[in-house]
This record gives sequence, structure tokens and C-alpha cells, in this order.
Amino acid sequence: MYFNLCTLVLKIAILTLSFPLALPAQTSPQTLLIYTSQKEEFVKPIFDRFSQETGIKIDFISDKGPVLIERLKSEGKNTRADLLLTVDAGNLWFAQSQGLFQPIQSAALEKNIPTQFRDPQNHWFGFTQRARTILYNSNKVKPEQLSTYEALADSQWKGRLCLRTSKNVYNQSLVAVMLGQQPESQVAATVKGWVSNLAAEPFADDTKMIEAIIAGQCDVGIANHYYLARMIKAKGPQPVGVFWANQKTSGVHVNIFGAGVVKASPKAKSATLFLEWLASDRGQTTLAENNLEFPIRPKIAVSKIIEPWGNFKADRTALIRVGELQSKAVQLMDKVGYR
Amino acid sequence: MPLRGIKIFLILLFWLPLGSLFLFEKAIPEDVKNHVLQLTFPEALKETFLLLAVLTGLCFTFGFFFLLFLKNLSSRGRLIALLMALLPLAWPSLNLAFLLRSALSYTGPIPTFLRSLGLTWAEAPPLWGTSFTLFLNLFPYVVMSCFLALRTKEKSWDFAATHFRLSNAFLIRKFIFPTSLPYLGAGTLAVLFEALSDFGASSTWNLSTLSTTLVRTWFSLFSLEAAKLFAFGLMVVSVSIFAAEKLFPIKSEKSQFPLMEKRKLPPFFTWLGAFLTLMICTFGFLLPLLELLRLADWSRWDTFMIPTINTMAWTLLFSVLVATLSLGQQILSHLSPRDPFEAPLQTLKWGYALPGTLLAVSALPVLTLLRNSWNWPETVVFGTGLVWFYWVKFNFLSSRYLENHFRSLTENQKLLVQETSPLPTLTRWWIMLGWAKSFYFPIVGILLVDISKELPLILMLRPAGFHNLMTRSYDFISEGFWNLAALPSLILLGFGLLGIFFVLISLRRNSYDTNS
Repeated sequence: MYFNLCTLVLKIAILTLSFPLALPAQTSPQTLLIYTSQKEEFVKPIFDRFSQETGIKIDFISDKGPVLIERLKSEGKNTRADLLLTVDAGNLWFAQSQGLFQPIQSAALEKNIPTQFRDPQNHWFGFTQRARTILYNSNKVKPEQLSTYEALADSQWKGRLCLRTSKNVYNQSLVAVMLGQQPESQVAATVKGWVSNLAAEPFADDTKMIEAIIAGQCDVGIANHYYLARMIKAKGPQPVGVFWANQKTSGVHVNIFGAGVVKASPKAKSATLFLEWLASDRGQTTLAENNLEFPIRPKIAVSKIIEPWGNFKADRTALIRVGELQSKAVQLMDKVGYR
Repeated sequence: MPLRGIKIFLILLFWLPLGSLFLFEKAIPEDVKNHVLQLTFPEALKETFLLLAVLTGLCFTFGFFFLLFLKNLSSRGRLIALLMALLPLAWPSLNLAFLLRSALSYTGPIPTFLRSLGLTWAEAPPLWGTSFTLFLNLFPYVVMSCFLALRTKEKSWDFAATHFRLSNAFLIRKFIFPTSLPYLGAGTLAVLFEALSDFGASSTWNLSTLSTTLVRTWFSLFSLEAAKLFAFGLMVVSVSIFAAEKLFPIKSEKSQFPLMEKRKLPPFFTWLGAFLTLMICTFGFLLPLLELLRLADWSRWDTFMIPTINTMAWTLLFSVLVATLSLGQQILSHLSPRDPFEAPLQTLKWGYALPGTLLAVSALPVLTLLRNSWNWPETVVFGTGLVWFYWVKFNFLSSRYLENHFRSLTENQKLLVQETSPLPTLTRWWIMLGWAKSFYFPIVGILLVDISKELPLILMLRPAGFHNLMTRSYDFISEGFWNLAALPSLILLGFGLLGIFFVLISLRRNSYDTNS
């Protein structure tokens, strides 16, 4: 009887282990393992196209940026990852500050990627831009009423503003950029003004916030442009306008989708080839179409969905500052009660 | 001696990673330290206590009314009420919170409908939103306590009421209320344990509890050392709840009173209880289910089947491992019950009281050490970590189940396997395994349900490559991809319903035992 029990346990264990395992097997020289913070549906088509063109296969593990960085830290020199592909310059900066990247010498990357979108020592590079700007209900607000992020702290927006939670990295980066340009007291006053103008509790994600703008719960909000683009792609035109913030001052806050080659990777050559492909015409076009973001190279056409929104002046603050000031930004938001 | 060696190994396996909480690898940056000590820690502590206080009030108040309501029902009525009140337990708190927040927010179906009638709907602030969600989600623990109270006390209440001709008010005030308090207290404390560990509902409603602030401190302020401070806070609060639990000892008394007519309470309680049950079922189960179906996009379901099956396979594997370890632990306890290491071995149950975030913060440095200092293979490190986490966290569940089973062994059976037996140790192991066979697979089932739903522990361990269905669901929900989260959420709901089925079977079995 007891032998039957053991046999059953053994059978279950073997059956379970025979499923495809979560950990990819040891990668071959012609395979790159990428840790990415992007969801599978956004990165898989890009990886597939690269593999078709170069014959280099890509395995990937998808998770949140800070989590992947912690994973790389804990794996140390034993990591099997070759690249970290993540959103937000703060994440890339932090990974670099922890010594997780190796410098890459590539004329193609230096030529194609503007200096403000890459690390000065070429540890990481940005490949698309994502603008965090002001969205408004086009039935209730006229673009002339809008100007800057700071102006959203004015009393005229009392009970009309919606924001995503401060626990999200995008708002942390926005405030970090402001901290790099203005005195802390001024930034604190702005963020405090936003909090007092809120029409609803901060939202868990940008999509819900845009839905609230459409439904009329609030009139304006701050969101990444591609959330609206995805909504338009899925549901058609929406009564929401895009206003490029701070055009007469510092420019709209842009962040990046970027990557760096992991320090412990022995496949730096193949990894660099992948980065160069992302910066090439084919790679940039694929990224623009697939992710609905702005290519890092101005000459590459943007998606038809976001084309009508026009050009904008981007904030030229070096993105490396975003990472350096992120912790300070989190502390400031906590202090003024921005949840 | 080998038995003692295994016991010592199991005890060390439990306590060593927890000891890493006291290892400080590097100092916390001064600005982060000040910020945490002066602002976020006191605020998180305050919000955690407020949440626990609100939940305590809700559980005691509604629990007592629910008890009085149940008392008026027939056994069939009780079963229906039980099923309706247990249903919300099938939801993981994250999914329930997201769906409730979505359904009750300005853009949700209910406020939209009310606006069309010219009525307004105020959004719930974080504390009330979280409390409401957790109350609906965890009230079943109180419901089960109410059943236990009725099973053991009801006949004595009826006896007193009949023989002393007591009025309903006097009966409730002097008999039912004081004697049911320990049961309501035990149920409420179970709710508080779960609420303290909760990450899903608190993060969705944006409440800064110790658990959510711990995660934020780690991943936004990039300080594991500062996160340990919150882990200490969590440990203190959970130990306090654990101590409070000891104040409510419930003796399982079998009533010796003759059968008598059930004393009915005023119909007010029946109506109130029926209304409460209907509300719990509607807001805690049906409304979120409808909202899930409204938001889901089924066109891409096939894309997510493989990772979902993959994750389920891992969960099944670790359910088997944890059940096996717990079984081994119980057998060890019976083979040498008077061993000096038996008492420390029993402390393994405390793992249940430790929130997942706390466990994660304590164990990650140990995993890193194993991987980097001694260069253990990656899969071995992952395996060790997973077994440890799952075992520490869920050992309590399976141990309790097995304890009941082994308690039913006859004295002769116990003597056979203990030290008076002339049989070799290995043979005695096999005998015990044979007796445990019928209970092994239900334990695996219960663990499968619980491990699949665990969020904070697995969430914090993703740097070490951990995933379960809940974290997959969380990843999509936190980015607003509800359509993609629908499949893992539905499977989780299915698992949750399976768990409720197990609970119902167990309650009915207990009920038959008492009647007989």
C-alpha cells in the first residue's frame, strides 16, 4: 500500500517536471537571453524580426524593471542574461550604478542615438521616446487653457485633475526631472497643488485614468502618450486631446525604452549587434509600429495613430539625472501627501 | 539519532533564513533613513492599525448578527447561507479589489447607471475601499467561526432559554454574546492575519500599509536595508496578533443536552442576516464576476495558455513537495514525541503568522549568498528557496489537517510506531505513510489552491525568478491589461471555488461527526 503512495508521488513529480520549465536552458552562442520589462506581446514581434534577419535566436524573461535589476544583482557573475531591455531611464541608470552593464563601443550606436538618450560612457542606449504629457477632455477643455505641468497646480483646475499613483515610476521620473530644473520648494509647491486639485483618488494605471477623463470625472490628466494611442487602436477615436506640455519652457518630459549589455555576458558581440539593429531603420520602424512610441531617430516615421498629434519639443535634460534624483522625488511626493 | 538529526535540520531550515533579517550588509543612506523613520514608517504603521481596527469592528459586529441569523435557520438554510457567504473567499484579494474598484468607480457600471438616474456615487477613500474589499474577501473566516460556535454552544443556549424561560434580549445579552465572543475573536484574528499579509487589496486601493510600503521602499528607494525595518514592524504586529489569538482558546465541547426545540430569535435577525448574506454574495462574488466578463477580451486567450500551464505545473510540483515535507514532519513527531527537539519543531507552525513580504526580505540575502559565495547551481538555489518559502508559509495548513488525522489513530497504532515498538525506524515510517495515504491528496489540493493565490511572497521573490498564477495576473492588472489578466484570474477563481468545496466538505463532515 505504502509503495503505491510512493509511486504516485513519483509519478506526479515526473509529470510536473516534464512540463516546459520556467527557467530557460543554457543558451547557445547563437542565442541571446534578454531580461525585459516589456510585456511579451510588445517585444516578441521585435525579437522575431531580429531573429529572422540575423539568425540569432532570442530567449527572454519578462518582469518589472526594478525586479529584473534585483535579479541581475543577486545573480552577479553567474547570470545567464545578455541584455537588460527596460523602460525608464531611472531603471537604466540604477542598473548602471550597480555595475551591471558593460560599456559598448559602436560607431553605429553613437551615430544614431542622440547624446541625451544614452549614457555618457555608453553603458546603455535609448531606442524609443515616450512622452508623458497632458491629456484633456476635448469636450470640456480648450488647448489654450493649458500650458505647463506646473500650471496644473493652479486653483482653476481644482477638482478637475486626475493623476496616476505616485508609486508608479513614470510620475517619479517626471518629478525627478522637475527637481533637476527647479528648486525643491518650487517642485514641492507644484506637486502639492496637483494633490489639492485632484478630482479622484490617484489611479492604479494610466488607462483607467484616461477612461475617467473620457467619462467626465476629470478634465485633465498626465499620462504617457501610447496609452491613449493603444486605446484609439483598439476602440477608435476618443474625445481626448493630447497637449504637449511646457513647449515654451523646458519641453515635454520624455523617457525612453532602452537597453544595456549585461557586464557578465560573454556574448557582447551578438548583444551589440542586437542594439545596433534596434537603432537601424528596420528596428526603429518595427519599434514605432509595434509600441506606438516615438523613434529615437527623428527621420523615422511615427505610427499613423500618433502622427496627427504633431511634433513637440522634448525636454533636453540628460536622462541620467532622472535616475540620480528618483529617490529624492519619491521622498518629496511622500512629504506632500501624493499617494 | 537519525530522527533527531532530521528534526534539527528542519528547525534550522526554518530559522536560519529568518536570522538574516538581523544581518545588515550596508548602512541605509542618511536621507532614506530619515525619510523612512520620520515619515513612511509611522504612516504605514498608523494605516495598518487603522485597517486592522476597522476590520475588527466590522468582523465582530457583522459576525455577531450573522450568528444570530444563522441560529434562526434550518440546517438546509444554513448550508445555503454558508455557501453564499463563502463564495467571495474564492477571489484573490487583488482581483477582487481591482474588479470592485473598477465596478464602483466613476466609469464603472453602477455609478454610470446611477448618474443616468441623476444620482451621484462617492468614491471610497483608500482605507474604506481596502477595508470593504478585505471584509468581503475574508468574512468567510468569521462565518466558519460562527458555525463552530453554533455547533458547540447552540444546545446549551436553547437549554438555558427553555429551562429558565429567558427573554430573547436576556438570552442574547447574557448567554449568546459572551459565549460566542471567543469564536468571533478567533475568526476575526484569522482575518487580521490575512489582512496584515495582504498586498493586493491595499495596493489596488492605494493604502500605505506596512506590506505595501515595504515593497515600495525596496523597489523605489532601492534600499533592502530600509525594507527590513518594515519587516521588523510586520513581525512585531503579527506576533502581537499571534499572542492575542492565545487569549481566545476555543474548547471543542460536545454538548450533552437532550434534543430540544430550537429557540427562535426575532425575525428582524433573519431579515438582516439574509440582506447581509445577499450583499456579501453580490458585492463579493457576482458583481466582480460580471465585471471580469465585461472587461475581458478572449481573442488572445491562446497566447497565454502555455505560460499559465507552465506556472500551474510548478505550483503543483511545490504543493506535492510541501505536503510531503509536512507529512514527514508529522510522522517524525509521532515516532519520537518526547524528543527535546519536538517543541522547537512545532514552532514551524509560526510561518503562517509571518507575512510573505517579511519572509522574502529575510530569505533573499541567503539565496544570494548560496548562489554567489558557494556558487551553487542556479536551479538548486531556486529549488531550495521555493521549497523553503512554500513550506514555511503553508506548512501550518497541511500540518493542521494531518494533525487531525493522526489524532484519530488508536492507542495501539500509536504504540506500534513509537519507541516501544521493536520495529526498525524505516519500517515504522512506511507504516505511518500507509495510514496517511488517504489524507495526502486532499492536502496537495488545498496547498495547490493556496499557493496559486499567494501574491506578496512570490511578488517579492521575482528577482530570484519566482512566478505563480497570481503574479502573472498582477503583472497584467497593474498595467491595466485586464483583457490579458482574465485567463489567469478565471483559473484562480476556479481554484478558489475548489478550495471552498474542500471547506464545505470538511464542515459537513465535522457536522456529521458531532451529530453522531
